[in-house]
Amino acid sequence: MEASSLSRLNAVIHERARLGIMSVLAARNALGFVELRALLDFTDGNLSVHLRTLEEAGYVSVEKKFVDRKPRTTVRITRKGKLAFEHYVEVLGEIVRRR
Amino acid sequence: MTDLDDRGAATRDLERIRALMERATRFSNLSGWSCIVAGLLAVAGAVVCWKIRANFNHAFCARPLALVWGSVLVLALAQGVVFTFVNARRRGEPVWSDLTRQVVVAMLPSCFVGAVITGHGLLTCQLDLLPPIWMLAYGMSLMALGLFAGAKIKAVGILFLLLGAAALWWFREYGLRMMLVSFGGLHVLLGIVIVWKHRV
Repeated sequence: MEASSLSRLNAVIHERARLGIMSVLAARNALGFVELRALLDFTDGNLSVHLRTLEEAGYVSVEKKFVDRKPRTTVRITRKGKLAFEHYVEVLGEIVRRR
Repeated sequence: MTDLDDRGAATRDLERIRALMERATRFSNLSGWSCIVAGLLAVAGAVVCWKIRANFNHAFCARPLALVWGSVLVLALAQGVVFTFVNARRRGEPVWSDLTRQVVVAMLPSCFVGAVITGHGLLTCQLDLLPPIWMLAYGMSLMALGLFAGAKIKAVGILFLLLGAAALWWFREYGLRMMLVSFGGLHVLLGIVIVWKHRV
């Protein structure tokens, strides 16, 4: 498995949950935490952990602010994250096309 | 062997990515009740026109017709916006998202076409053109909305286009009746279907 082409894939994005988050964000740019959680059917904790990893990699930015005295968290894909996701999808495509 | 495994895994990943991206771009904040209210507003507009004898066949009726249907449009838009925002709030989604912006941008060109021809029709006193043009332009914008909101909306968009074409070719003198059937009837029907589906 070490030598296989899947190992060329970006490990941060390759994890199943994070790939889900990146796919949704690539389509929508920015989303509220609640909406993201509902779309992916994750738990609060699960989503937070993976968002932290993506944030540390510089792929997403997480912004917290108060609207009507309630906290609202917005997750946004960064330019770096977009490029990484596009590259990831390209590599997947290459693997599928290779004979 | 490894290659085959890789290819299978990559294909599955790509499929999942596509499914998620599609799901994320579905616009599901449309309210059935809002649709019903819009239909009833159109019915009210038609009734008012009958009461004040404002008819699309008489060139001198431009002012009352513009007033009545302009009010119907403003009221319908306002309640539509309110219902959509309330729906988004209830789901914990931002009221003005990137997706909302895309939906609005997709619908704008057909609204523009409708507005341009309406202006021309009013200025040149070709009032009998207005109901068919409104139905055609609205049908086009529903088709655009349907790209995000699914098959039901698209189906109603097609019905508006067909009714609009029929109104233009064959029923030009029945403007009010066509307004009643299309903007009244189709909206109420669509609204009932949406409300019904969310109940079950």
